[in-house]
Amino acid sequence: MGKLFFHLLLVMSIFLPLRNLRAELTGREIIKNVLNRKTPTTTEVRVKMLLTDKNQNERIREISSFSKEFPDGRRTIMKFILPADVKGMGFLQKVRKKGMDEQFMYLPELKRARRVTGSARKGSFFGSDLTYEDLESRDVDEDVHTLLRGSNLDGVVVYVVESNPKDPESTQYGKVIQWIRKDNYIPVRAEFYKDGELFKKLAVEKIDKIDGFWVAQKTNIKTLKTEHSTIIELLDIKNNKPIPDDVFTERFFSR
Amino acid sequence: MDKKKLNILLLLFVSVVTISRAEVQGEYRGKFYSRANTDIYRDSKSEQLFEWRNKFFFEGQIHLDQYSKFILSVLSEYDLFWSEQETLYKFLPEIYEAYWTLFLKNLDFYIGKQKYSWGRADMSINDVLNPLDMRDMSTLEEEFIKIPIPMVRAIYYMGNYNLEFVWVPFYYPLKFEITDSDWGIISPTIFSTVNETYKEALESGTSPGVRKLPNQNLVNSEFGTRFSGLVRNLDYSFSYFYTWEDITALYFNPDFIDYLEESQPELSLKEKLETLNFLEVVSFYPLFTEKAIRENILSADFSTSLNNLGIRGEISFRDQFPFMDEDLRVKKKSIYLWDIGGNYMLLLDVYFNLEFIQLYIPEYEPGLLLVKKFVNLISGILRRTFFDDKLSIEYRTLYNFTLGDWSFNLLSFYQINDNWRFGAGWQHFDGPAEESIFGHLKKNKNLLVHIRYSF
Repeated sequence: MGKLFFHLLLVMSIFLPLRNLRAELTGREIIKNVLNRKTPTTTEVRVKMLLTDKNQNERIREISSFSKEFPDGRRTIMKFILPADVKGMGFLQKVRKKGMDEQFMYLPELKRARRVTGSARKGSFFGSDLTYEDLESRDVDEDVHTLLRGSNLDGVVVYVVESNPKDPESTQYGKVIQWIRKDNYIPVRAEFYKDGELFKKLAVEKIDKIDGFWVAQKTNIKTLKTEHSTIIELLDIKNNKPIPDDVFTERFFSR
Repeated sequence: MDKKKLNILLLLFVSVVTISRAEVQGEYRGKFYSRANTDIYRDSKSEQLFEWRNKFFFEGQIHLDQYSKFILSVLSEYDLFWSEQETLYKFLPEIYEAYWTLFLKNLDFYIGKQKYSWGRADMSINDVLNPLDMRDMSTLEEEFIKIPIPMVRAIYYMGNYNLEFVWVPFYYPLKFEITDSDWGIISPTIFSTVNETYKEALESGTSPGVRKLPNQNLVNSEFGTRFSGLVRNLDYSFSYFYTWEDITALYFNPDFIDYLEESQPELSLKEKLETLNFLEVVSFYPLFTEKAIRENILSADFSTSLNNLGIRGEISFRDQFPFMDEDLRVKKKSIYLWDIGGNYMLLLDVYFNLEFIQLYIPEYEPGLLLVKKFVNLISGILRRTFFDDKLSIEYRTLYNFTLGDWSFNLLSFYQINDNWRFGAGWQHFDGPAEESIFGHLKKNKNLLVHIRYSF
């Protein structure tokens, strides 16, 4: 009896919090918490991307990235270090709290920064499994968010939230399902659907607290149709180190 | 002050600044291109059958400290042109860019030999700062189409706005071939009856014309200014450039023009040129004098996105553009140029770009060569990638539907690894031979292969 009680207690300790999840928050509130998560004002990081095709051929991309929170939204600027054929290229993203995000790409050969417009955002981000659109943030009310269930993933309690765009033209995905950690609101797994079929999977493989902020240090993204995958590693992370505002302009590309 | 003195001063200035700063860091990048084209539609043995063009490019950036850096690059070209009649070699090493940058709080300076871009469209009409290298019509080594020239640029930043000043101390012409290659403005067949003899004359140092281009002194400086702004989802610029028009005017010898007019009135200009013999041509030496025209260029451009469509537009006014009439006389006219274009990603791996370009000559007069009052062109790019972006097939076209000439490139590239890329393709030119540019080049259709190594 004592053993049964112990097992019951163990099971309840796992599932009761999950049952409570439903009562606590709506899907919209969870996504809002994800978007409003405490993030550093500035971040400087070296991003390493390992691209693997279905024949296990590997390619490495390396980027130096800076980001900073501005009153109108977060800005990120990147410079490509590897491979040789994209060395010196740059990328600037301005995520707007209100209105459309903006992205610019700099081509050193042409000495020209050019706006990455409209549908070009569906294109692959430097050959990876990310698209330019994946780097953008969506306003919480651009999608209808439904809390599907609570769950336990690798020993941590997560919310499973489905997001469907209100305007299907606004995104390439018909549906996104995210597994979001309850303790820190980091999405640790995601599934991206296109035309009703699972198109792409994301899994966070390493998560850590650096300078007091939770960071997904290693993420694996796999496109199912092409069997192509990208592992993104964040290295040499420096949070809240002062970075001048003018770094986040096209001006920086020439520097 | 002449070019030599100013260059020495600039070099001294850069050297002193470089030596005086201690925290030196560097980075580099480089590329090697090798391309072979074969002309398979020749109808004359004087046309080149084979072109082999090689370019080696190396760029080093020395970061002196967080406020300044020095950029030095070299470009070395080794080209070979072969026909049954002759083999030409060209070895052209050069300091490609050499400039120093200084970044102050709200002000950046760029001083030295450099290239830079204005304009926003892919086929930009506002990108007028650097002269172009038009020695062949390849889009494969696009980064070398502009010729770096000495200039001083200053950009003052005011939040989302910036104001830019450019000073080009010396005049530099664009590069083009007159007779030395199939891409020359005088094709091997234009003096068809005298061609062989004329070639011999050229090799002995006689040129059909003379170049009287502006001296490289400060009196002939060019300067410009550009104001740019960025408001939500719209970036725009207004520019002014006081310059020398890159397209030079060819002033034919008036005696030669009179002679053409008076002789054999029943023949067309082309027929008259074809019946000229070598002695007649030489007796009117110089057949033409090449001169540059001073010009004011006012322009504006923007880019934005509308739903899923990226939109770019440009407009430009030039007050003195040189044309030639059918009597071979230069006519300077003001012109308007504008283009509007959009790009769209049809599928995840299909990119489509289309631009409409129009030239308008308000004071058009009948008889101007190669133009009408309105000249309308369409430029398009369709690109599809396969196998995780390793293979790409690209179709680029430019169609002039006023004159009926057109070109297209059908190219495929295979990215062997992060360093090596292999490409192959077809370049096509067509149109009325004497009345259009691509018609003039229609015998230059060619097959090509290329390889690129990046490091």
